Amino acid sequence: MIQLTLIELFKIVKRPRTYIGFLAIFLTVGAMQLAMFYEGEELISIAIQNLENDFRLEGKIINTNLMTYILLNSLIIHIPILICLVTGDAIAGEASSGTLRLILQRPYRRNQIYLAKALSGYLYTISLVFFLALMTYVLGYFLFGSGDLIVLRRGVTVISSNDVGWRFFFAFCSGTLSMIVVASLSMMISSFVNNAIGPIVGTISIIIGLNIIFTLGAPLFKDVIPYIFTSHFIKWQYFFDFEIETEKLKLSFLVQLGYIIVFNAIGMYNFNRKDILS
Amino acid sequence: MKSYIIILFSIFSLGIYAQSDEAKSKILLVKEKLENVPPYNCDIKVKIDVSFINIKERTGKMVFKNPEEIDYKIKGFAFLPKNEMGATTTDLFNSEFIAISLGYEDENEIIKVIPMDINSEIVTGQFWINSKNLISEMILITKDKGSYSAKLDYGGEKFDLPSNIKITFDVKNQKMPALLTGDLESYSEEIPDVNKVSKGNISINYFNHQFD
Repeated sequence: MIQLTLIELFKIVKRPRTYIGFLAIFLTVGAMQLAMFYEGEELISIAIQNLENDFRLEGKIINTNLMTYILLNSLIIHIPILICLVTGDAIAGEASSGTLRLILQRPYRRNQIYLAKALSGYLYTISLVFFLALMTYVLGYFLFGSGDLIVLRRGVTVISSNDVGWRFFFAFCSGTLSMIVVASLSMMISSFVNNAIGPIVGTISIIIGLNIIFTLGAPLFKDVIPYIFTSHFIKWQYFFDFEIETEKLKLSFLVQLGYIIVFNAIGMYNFNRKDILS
Repeated sequence: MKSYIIILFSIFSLGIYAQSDEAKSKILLVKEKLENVPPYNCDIKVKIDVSFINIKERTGKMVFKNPEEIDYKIKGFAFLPKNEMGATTTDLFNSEFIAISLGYEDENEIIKVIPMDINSEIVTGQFWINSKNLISEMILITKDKGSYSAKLDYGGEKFDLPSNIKITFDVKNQKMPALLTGDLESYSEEIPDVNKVSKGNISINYFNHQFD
């Protein structure tokens, strides 16, 4: 199994499209941080102008913690696109190039091959989120330095700079789990088609569609929303609340774990019956 | 009969005038005390209690040069009252004003101060002055920023500086756009009444004074 996963990882490393994600994050984070470096004060003052009317604000608002928090929001749409580029290609790409038939001739069960592809896809996902964390925090630290984090969510929460480390750690873990759901979804779709474009476009369409439906129609679907996987993409924000709602986070973890299991089960079921002869 | 009424009215008017004059002298005495405070710095602890703000107690330093020039060096980020109490009261006392004594409450004389300038930001102020001619409580009504009150405690500091000030003020509910905050879940929640005004408190403790 480890051998299979290493082989799949080797394929991912050798594929040029793997580096598109890292390059995109490098450019996006770099551009965003530079824009905030030059125009950040004005942008932030728009967000906090009401507070400035009532209070005298003392201290540095823009710092690496705020930048990391802002850029973590890219987990909603942008990072899933980059993940799908690789995980969506895992089965469908090999099917279209004809190498899938060769792999399945080897003495491994199809479930093992599917799981190896999924695991390597998850490792790619983790490395992408880790790279995002590293880029935002390290570059932000050099440009803006550290400081207290101001979160404009359900009012205003100010978190001391020495209290943010563990919150970011768990926030990135939560974000990674959400992205693993995305990887599982694209892997599942990938098992259904023989064209690599399908899983990428399909996954993104599902994510964007669900985001639009359940954001604009939120009051209508409020009872269903906790069980829709896209609504958990922003659950990492809960780690920055003054009083953390652990029950909601536990539910979020279980729902996402459930989706990962279901997507993989469907994917494996379909992969086992996949026709490789035609 | 007519002359009696005139005499009584004159005596009554003189009484009010004397009372007003006395109250004004007391306020000017308070102002003098405030102006005589030399530049100093001290450690502070700031505690904020506003419904939509979550922040732990902050510590730092306050550098006082004069009532209009007060600098704060806070560890991290902090919310402080918009108008410094010293600067606001000095503004009020420096302009032409009428002072009326409203009697006594718990050994404090209550004096109402009304600025003569119709364009003054402060519409009216009420001060509770203790036997040492120090402000122990005050309420200021402003034209645009609502009202705010302050209670001052004195711990025997030099120049009769307060050891704690608790400021209560009007504050409007805040609702940030979800697209700006990334809090997309707020779409499914009830929107708070953004125009609702509630009371906020900021308590500042002053200690370790060092005079220049």
